[in-house]
Amino acid sequence: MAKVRLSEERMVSLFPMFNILTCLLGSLIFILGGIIIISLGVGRSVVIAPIQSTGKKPIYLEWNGKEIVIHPQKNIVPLSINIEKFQSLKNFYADLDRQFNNTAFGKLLKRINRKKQYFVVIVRPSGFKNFIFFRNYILDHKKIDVGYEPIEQNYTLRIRQ
Amino acid sequence: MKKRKERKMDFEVNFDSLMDILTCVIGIMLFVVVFTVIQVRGVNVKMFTPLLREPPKGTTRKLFICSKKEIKFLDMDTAVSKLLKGIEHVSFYNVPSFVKKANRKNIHDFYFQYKLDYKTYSSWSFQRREIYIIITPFENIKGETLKDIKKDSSRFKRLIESLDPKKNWISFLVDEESIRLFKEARKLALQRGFKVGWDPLIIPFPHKECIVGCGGRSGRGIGGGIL
Repeated sequence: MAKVRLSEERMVSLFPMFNILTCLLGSLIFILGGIIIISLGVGRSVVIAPIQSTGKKPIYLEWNGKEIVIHPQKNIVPLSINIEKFQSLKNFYADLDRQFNNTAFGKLLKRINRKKQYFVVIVRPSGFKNFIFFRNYILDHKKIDVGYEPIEQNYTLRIRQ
Repeated sequence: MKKRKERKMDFEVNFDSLMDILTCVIGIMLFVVVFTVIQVRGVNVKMFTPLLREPPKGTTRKLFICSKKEIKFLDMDTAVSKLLKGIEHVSFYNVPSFVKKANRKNIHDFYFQYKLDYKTYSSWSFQRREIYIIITPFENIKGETLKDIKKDSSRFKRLIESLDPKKNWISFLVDEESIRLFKEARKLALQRGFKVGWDPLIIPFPHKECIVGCGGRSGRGIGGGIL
């Protein structure tokens, strides 16, 4: 009678399954990395680490032509600048006073200590056209010292204080 | 009865090579993720806190225009002094002839041409003339780019090296496209010891600006302070 012998070489190898799992793990890591990147925001970010070079403490603002962003709280205050509507600077400044009334920036203007604090405005390219008027409002009308620095439009801004 | 020979498999499928490839691919993916996360964390920029101040007394402003990713030297103050030579003897009636004579001098520098114009205001009680400077860039003369100013032979570098930081200060007018160029130019100027300021470039070219008889500026102007 012929004996049927099971071939000893026909064993179930788990190596291919191990490899597939490793590949799956790699893909998951890649997807996770992509999700992290998207959640952190598109575009490069700039972390400003200020080096104190004046005797006053800076309060950082961001200006993009339509809004003021007060850092680090990131309070957004909308502002419309239409200097052509006004026949005099006095009326223009009065309009800005009215716009800032009861806003976070208006409150900041009231409580700022002019001897110890001043504004540093980070200016986006979209804010270039009307920034001079905003600057002059702070400097000439409100008598608060100001400094300013440009930053690229698509950079995310974080200020380390 | 003949025994049927068992047909043996001559080849075996060995997955070791595939395992090596997959491990390598995972390693590369991990490297890409780590590199990307590092990039995304952002660029740390150390920034001196700027504060707008008046330029030092007795210093002359040297103005540079950073526009469309090119930098050009606008020697307006020299041009104005050349164009207005003899203005102290000019009255209301000989403004037109003075302007015509000044324009014949063909004042220009490497990048811009400078001419005068005038405007007359009259009413029943007074007559007044204002004199304007018109600044026109030469169309075929390009400014220097970010790559150009880094070279030792660049016009910008040679110019700032020829100026005395104690007698001059530098102001930049910057448009939306030229921020990186401005920052590099500013870095070079600061290394040379200059006081530097900047303002957004909001004036179009050809540019017309009142220089005589205007009654002063209303509000603070542009390009007038250091930061």
